[in-house]
Amino acid sequence: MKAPFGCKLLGAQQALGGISDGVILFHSVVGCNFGSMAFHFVSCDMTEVRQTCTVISDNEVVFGGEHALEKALSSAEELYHPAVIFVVTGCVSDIIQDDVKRIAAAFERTHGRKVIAVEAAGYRGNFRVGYEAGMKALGMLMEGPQAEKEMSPMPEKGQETKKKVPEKGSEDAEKCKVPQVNILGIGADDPRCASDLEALEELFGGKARICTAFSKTDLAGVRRAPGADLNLVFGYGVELAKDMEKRFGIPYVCLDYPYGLTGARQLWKVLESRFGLNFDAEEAAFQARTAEGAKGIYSYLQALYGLPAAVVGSGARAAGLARFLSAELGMEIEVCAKREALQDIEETYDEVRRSEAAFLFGSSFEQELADELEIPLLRFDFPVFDRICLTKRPYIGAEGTLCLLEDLFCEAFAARTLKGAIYQ
Amino acid sequence: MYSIFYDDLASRLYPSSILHAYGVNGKISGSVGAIGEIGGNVVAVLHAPVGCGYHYRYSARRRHQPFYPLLSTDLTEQEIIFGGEEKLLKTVREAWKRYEPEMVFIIPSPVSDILNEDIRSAAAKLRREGIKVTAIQSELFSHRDKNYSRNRLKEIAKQKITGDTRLEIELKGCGFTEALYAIVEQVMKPQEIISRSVNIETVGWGSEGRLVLREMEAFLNTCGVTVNTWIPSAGVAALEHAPAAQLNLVKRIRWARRMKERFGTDYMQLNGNGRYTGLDGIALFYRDIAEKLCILPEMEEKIEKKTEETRMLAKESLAYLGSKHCVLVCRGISDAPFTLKLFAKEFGVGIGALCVILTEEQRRSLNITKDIEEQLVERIREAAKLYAPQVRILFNPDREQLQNCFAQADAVLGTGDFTLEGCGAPLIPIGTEMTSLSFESWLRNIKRLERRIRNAGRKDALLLNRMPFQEERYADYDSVSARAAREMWQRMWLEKKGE
Repeated sequence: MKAPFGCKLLGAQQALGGISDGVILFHSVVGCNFGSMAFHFVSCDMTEVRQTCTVISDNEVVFGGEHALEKALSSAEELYHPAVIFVVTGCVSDIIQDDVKRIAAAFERTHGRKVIAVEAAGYRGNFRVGYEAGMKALGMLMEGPQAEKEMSPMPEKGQETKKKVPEKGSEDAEKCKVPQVNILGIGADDPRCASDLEALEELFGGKARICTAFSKTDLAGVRRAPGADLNLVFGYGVELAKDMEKRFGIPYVCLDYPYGLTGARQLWKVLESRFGLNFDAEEAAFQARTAEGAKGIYSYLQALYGLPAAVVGSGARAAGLARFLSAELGMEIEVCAKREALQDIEETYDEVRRSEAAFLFGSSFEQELADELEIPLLRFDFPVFDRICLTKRPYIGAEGTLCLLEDLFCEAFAARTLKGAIYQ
Repeated sequence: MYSIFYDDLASRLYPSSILHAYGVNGKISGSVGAIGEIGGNVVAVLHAPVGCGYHYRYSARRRHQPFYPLLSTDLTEQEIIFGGEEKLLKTVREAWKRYEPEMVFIIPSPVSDILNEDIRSAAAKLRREGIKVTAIQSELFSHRDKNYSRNRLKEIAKQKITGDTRLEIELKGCGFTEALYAIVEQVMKPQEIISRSVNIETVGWGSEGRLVLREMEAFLNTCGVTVNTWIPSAGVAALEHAPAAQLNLVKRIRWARRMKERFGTDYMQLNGNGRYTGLDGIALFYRDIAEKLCILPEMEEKIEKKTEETRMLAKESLAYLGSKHCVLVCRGISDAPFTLKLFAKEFGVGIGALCVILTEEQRRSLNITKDIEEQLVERIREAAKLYAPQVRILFNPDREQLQNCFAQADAVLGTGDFTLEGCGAPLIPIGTEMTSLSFESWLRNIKRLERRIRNAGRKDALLLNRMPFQEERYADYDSVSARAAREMWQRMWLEKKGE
């Protein structure tokens, strides 16, 4: 089979890599560290190397890797001075049955440093499973709400966890402090992670705030998370959200990635219904900004209208983008494949081959298909290893929508292959 | 048109050198890299969990360009317990049917190695069904032999620079070599020997590689020597036909030895450790080939003629370079003698000072003992006596000493260390490989050096130099986590005992 989806270990890395004062210690072979680091470096930040490895070798396979793990923990503690060490196990340490949890607990006792073990053997799940495991592990660092929350009382046992919603415009609503939300599901190595988070906060218009975005925070941020009023889950992180609902009474909502106005509307709708907020002004501003910003290329936008396209991506992103492309640009989405549901990516490629798609949306790996079909590719899904983003260029929000349009047309222009006569 | 420097850029768009500061790749990437070089329709099946099959497409020693036809056997817990042969057979059969490849290559993984999967037996079974399949065998678990660079340096230290500097050290557990070994064993077939023919190993030639290989071929052709197969950058049929060559020109030894055992093909290693430096070195390279092919008298005239022609074409550049006074900076203590030879003797540049930088970090990671260091330093002194008797040698000069040297120089050569910009003389950055084994390459390098010195300008406001870099490792960014990651790597691998 041609793999449609990444490794469980890399999923865990994506979930844990956003904790800026933590360090990930892979209890695995060199290739796991090198391969995951390669994705991190090219898409994110070459200066931060907050991951390392026990380098399991023949010796550990024969005699066990626990000694190597103890040594690595001591060294990581000494060299990184981390707030927390995440020990992520790979296939080999799992097969040789190292007692990672015992060693982590013993180290935590003797060194007073938080150590969290995350099982991420690639033969026991895919990227999504690893991501969920990593996120769930972050829950172990949470102790309880940090501050009294006027809008989010802890539920009594057996009570519905949905929070009390003041009526729109009522005095109660006015009095309430700004609701806080946690953001789950954005990968730490998404090149647009920081930009999208800022854009997300802008979409809130100051009426709600991000409490903790797990893809860009620190241990204090993780510990602060139970103080939020709502968990917004963009695809992955559902297991942690469920756990936080159970433990802290924080409700959660799963959303598609909020591309375009339609994505923003979905987000606003949730905040409106949960907190009695009103985003009419933000919506009007969004519409005006995108209309003004895109008017200079209206003819190109007309060219997209009715254009067949294919989307291949992880669930929430694929769904959010397909909706944007269809509802806002008027494109015909002939294939929308969600990685989690695929067995063999070649079957999806066949579907795209059979379609009339003239534009492909996917990860950097989909360049293979784009080349074959001689159509442009816009990279929006992990992994993106052949595009960089240094400036604030989100893909969500009004400015993000314009950035996405810029990139979409730039890719279309760059994908030209014709050199000679057009009709020969 | 082919641009050497776009090739270089494409290579650097994968941050391999930085990544290697914190680890090495698993050997799967080497095997995938080798198979990725084979032309035509081939498919690789990685006997591993699904995630490896996804990510190793990118981490494949192919710069930032993935190897797409990589399939996975999708090993799950079921196979960990009961074995994965059935899944391997099924995946290969499906691949054979779906992609109709010329050959399926099976690559092992640490997981299949632990399970002790008998990949070769599975391949034999598949071959009996008519499927063309090659199984790569793991020699070592997970990664290559870590002592290779250290052992090599130890041997180099013992060599006299004027002696026969050829050195043959096998590298075990390199995925690339394992793939070539499998090609020798399972793809190649006995052939009638074609007189005056060579095979050339293609990977590891630096920035100019693709061009230099063609230039080498062109010169060999003028001498009546043909290139039989580019290994492994050829189609399956050409690889099958490789034993027809009289001689292998190789970068890596292990597979070449096996080919000699199996087919009697003689080989010549191209890592001459300075033997082939400069124009005379290139001429010597072709003489070595001629000698191996027993046609030295015939080739000698052509080699001499080409050497002289090349020297004539470089005459003006050489005259210009001869009027310049430069400082040479070397960060590789073992390469320093031949870098000095190249610039001082071959290019005729006046080298006033040779600055050799050897950091504690290098001493530690390469296990350079006092004895080895003394031997290496002695080689540098020997080279200075031979090629630049007036040169002042400075070991680990501080910033002030460097500035003093640079103040009297027209340019700084031998390094790409941009942190030395703005120290008083323009720096001429070197490419990843200064010169290679074609006459044209030597000429290009001379002309480029001349052009760059003529055009040299101040680069004292480099964006790069607004960032902190580690002085002891100039290419490494200076952050707590970068230092920590490097030190972790040192402790967990390089200083690991018992391997």
